Amino acid sequence: MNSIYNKTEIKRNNTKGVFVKIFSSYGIYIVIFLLVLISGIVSPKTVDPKNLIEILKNTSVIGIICIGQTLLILTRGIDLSVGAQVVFINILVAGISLGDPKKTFITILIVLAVGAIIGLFNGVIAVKLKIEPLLGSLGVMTLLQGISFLYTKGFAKGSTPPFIRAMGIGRFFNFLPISVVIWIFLAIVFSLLLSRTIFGRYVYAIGSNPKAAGIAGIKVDRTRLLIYAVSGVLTAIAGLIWSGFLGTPTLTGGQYLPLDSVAAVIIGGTTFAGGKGRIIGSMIGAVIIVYLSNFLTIIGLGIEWKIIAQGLIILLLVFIYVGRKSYK
Amino acid sequence: MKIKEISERYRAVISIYAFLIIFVLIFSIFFPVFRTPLNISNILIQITPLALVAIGQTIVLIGGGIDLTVGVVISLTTVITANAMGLPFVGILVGLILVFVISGSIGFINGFLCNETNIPPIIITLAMASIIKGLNLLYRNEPGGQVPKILNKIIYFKMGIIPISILIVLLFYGIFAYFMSRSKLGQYIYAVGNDEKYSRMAGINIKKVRLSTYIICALMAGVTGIVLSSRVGSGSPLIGDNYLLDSITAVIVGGTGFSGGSGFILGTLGGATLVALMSNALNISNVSPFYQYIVKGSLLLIAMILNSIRKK
Amino acid sequence: MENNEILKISNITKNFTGVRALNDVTMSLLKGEIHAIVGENGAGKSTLCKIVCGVYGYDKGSIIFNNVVLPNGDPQKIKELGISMIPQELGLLPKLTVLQNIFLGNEKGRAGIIDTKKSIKISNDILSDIGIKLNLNTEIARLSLDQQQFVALARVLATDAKLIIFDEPTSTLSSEEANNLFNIINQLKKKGITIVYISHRLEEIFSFADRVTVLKDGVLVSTEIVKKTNKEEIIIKMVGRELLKTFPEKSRIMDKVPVLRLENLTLKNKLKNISFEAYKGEILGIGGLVGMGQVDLVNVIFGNEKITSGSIFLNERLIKSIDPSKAIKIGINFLSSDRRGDMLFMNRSVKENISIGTLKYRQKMGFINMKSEKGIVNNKIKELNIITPNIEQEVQFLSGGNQQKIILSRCLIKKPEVLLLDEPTQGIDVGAKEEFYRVIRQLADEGLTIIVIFSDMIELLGMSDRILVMHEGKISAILNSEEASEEKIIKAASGLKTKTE
Repeated sequence: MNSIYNKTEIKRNNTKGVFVKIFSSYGIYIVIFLLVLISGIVSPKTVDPKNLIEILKNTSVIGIICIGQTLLILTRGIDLSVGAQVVFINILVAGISLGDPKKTFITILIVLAVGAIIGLFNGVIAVKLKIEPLLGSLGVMTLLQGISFLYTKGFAKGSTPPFIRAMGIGRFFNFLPISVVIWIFLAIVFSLLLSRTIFGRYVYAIGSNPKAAGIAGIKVDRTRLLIYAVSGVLTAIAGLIWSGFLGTPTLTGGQYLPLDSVAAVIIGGTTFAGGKGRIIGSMIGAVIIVYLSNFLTIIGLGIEWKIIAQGLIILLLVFIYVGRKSYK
Repeated sequence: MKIKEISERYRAVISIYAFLIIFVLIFSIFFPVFRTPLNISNILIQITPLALVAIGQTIVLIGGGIDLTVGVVISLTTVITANAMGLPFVGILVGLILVFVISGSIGFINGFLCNETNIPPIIITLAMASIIKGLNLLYRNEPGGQVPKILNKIIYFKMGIIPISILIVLLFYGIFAYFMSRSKLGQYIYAVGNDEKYSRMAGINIKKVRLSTYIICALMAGVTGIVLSSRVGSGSPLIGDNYLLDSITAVIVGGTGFSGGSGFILGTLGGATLVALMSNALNISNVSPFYQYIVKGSLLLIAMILNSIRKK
Repeated sequence: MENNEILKISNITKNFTGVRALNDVTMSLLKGEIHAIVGENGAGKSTLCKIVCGVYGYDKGSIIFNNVVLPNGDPQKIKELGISMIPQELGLLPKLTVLQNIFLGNEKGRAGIIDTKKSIKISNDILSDIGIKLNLNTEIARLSLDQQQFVALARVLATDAKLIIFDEPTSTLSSEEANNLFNIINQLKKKGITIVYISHRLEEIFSFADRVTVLKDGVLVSTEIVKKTNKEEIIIKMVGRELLKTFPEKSRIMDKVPVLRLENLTLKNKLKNISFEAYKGEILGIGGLVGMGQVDLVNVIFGNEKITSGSIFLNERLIKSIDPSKAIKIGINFLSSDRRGDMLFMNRSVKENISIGTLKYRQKMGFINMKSEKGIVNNKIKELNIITPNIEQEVQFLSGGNQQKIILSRCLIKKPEVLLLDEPTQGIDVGAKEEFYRVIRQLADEGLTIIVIFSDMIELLGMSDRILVMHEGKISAILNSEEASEEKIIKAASGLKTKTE
């Protein structure tokens, strides 16, 4: 780990350490509670159940991406190409199926495969070529933008087939969005995976100390590649839902996804040093980000405020997690 | 004996310039348009902003950090120059002072946060970039304003095919190359990038050193904004975004690594030239503009792969 | 301050969070002497010297140098006053050149610009004084360790130091290089420079130091004139009691069943033609000066590195291409000396640190059997007497000794046939060390083959049934515990021939 990521955070077992520990575990719930409370007082429209469901629906894409992003950041990786991936998947869906419902199955299959390949590509760059994941994924992002352009030659054609549209905008019983169900299902699956399976332990071990993980007998490179591939597939699923939202392919959009997803994961308590963090934290982090956007929009403040607020929140929260620098 | 050892040390810099020369030769042969005075002039103009901002990024990276705010600082400075230089003569002075004060302050905040907290520099500058961008967009969310034309006349005045701007670039590179290799502060920046603990034990004030790298970087981004807006004529809150990734590419291609402690200012000049040349070459060779992204992305990846290999 | 005293340390106390590193230390240095400081790991030697140099600040007390009171924790000022230290890790910056390192923090020049010509001249003068020729433009990373040592020394000399502190300078040097260093130190003494020499190698101290101070657990035990004392007295002062009784009884296994066999093992240029056998139930100690191939040997057996040629046999079955996960599967496990870096997951719980590596024995379809895991972990905690508030406690908050026990218990859940240990008692307090010795001996008695690297002669002699001494990547001697002696080991470690098996 080079110094742009900084040193490890070893905190002493004193009161500040305890506060941080509690905050890491429960702080996120406190934050969201306060957020809902304050926004509810300032503008009751925000806590209207219909609005809340809307918010959840809008969180599903970034929420699924955050699952993958959490796994990556836990193992000292990151993927900033997720925005470009999602745009590309949308274009692929439209381009392959051209709106034809009979092609749904093959489209989904191809999309998931492509997701895995992109994930693996990012993985090879980060794990085998040992390129700084942050910048490597930015390079991949640029490549994907180029590929999207070339594939569509500037004119995106086709549209999203009905089944996938349903994934994006359909609802169960006329109120529960399908996308939310998919998201929560995946969140639960991966949450259990992390906390109860061997694979989950290996993820934490690799993130906490890759060298020790190797000595303990874990196949570190292989597992990290797998995590990248899984993250790619998750992003592809998010891309399907995104395609469902939009209905038609576009070359723009998604530019806030990478930073938002990283912000959500950080707010949720996963640290860059690796080996500590939970999916549920990232999920709530994602909700906080979307909720904040929504709230700002409702009270008439634009996206500029959102990115200012996001920057400030990241600084504040990471500072709480890692503290002041001490020069002994 | 001495030449051999010099070439060993400066291997990275020499290779980038060698590559550049070959690239230029090949392109000149296959695309005569490349060689025309007009095109060369254009290239030199295009190199300018990237070359300038890359100096600052090089210094920060050598010191062991990274600055992701350069893009938004460039944008911010273009907006300032386009809007704060209203009055004819004093206006420009006021505008320039404002640019340096604001960009210097941003650099100060970046460095301060790096010094006082354990937040990784990547996250600090990422978050700061968000905040600054938001503030910039609040002030003005679309291109506009008017940059005094005299700036354009001065900076882009051409002597033959050579615009003054490239001389400005060479001047800055000369100054900073000397600075990094011959001044105490320059040595200290390399030292802190090598090993913070030992530098501190040797009596170096690492806080001061780190702060200066971030301030220099932000100021150079400010200079870049002035030069850029003089050419374009107006200010834009998003114009600087591309320069972030490009500046990092230029620095890495030029031979400076991520882990800090080593790197060459002159190498970055080669890297910036290459990046600018690639764009120009793509335009000339009538390749679909969409390939630009692919080439840029690949260039960055290849540069990083080579950097990894070099380290072994 | 008395006439011939150059440094007077009075009542220095230093606390780190929760640990008292130095307790009321008072001592003085005489002008021009070579003063050795000895003590076990953690006794406070480095800390005391870092305080004198200003790298650490002290909590109580005062230090006077040449009749000037030293500022507390101001390394730059203290360097200017003439005190410099060469830390154990040398403190050089790897990507910078020799010239840059020599003048680091002390650059010659005016108005912020460096005077290169002057720097070059001074460097060349200093280097020729020391008697070494170096290209000033070479990056430190490209120099050998002893060359780096000289650069570190040159740096100190460039500050016109009157008091130079050496912290364990020979731990990475060969004996010729070490002798070279001693000559230089003697030369410095002739020039009137006072030398402080931290080491735990008593042979060196008795060969050229004037006086020696013993530190133990942060307290100054005594200061003696070297000529008037001997090694045994010093050792007793360092450790506090008769040594031989602290080690458990050695093995009494009569028939030797070979478990691990190496044949003509070669690893690049680090190991050359290594052949030996290790038996069931024995503790095979590996000794020799640091860096002679001991760690490489152990790494190769565990599969951390690939062998260049030769073979490894486990129970007479040839092992082809091994890596850590395969090694653990076939029954070889490894405890690295760098606990923090190589073995522990600092921000994970005690439970996870112990159970990692053997999770597949407590799972169903990938899901961990939490109850069984808790049971096994609690068992191990009881068995090895690990002190922790609960099993979810993050390992980074435990003491070194407990951390070591955690790693050991990890290796023992599925008892391996061969256990490789690299400096297992480094950085552990004396009480925990004794427990450790007992545990290791017990494991051997149960039939494990234990191969341990000990750089400490006392541990090596006290624990091993047989001793394998390495020198320059080769086995220089294999000694039985009855015939082994410090002298024989040192001879073998220096490459001189003695009785070999």
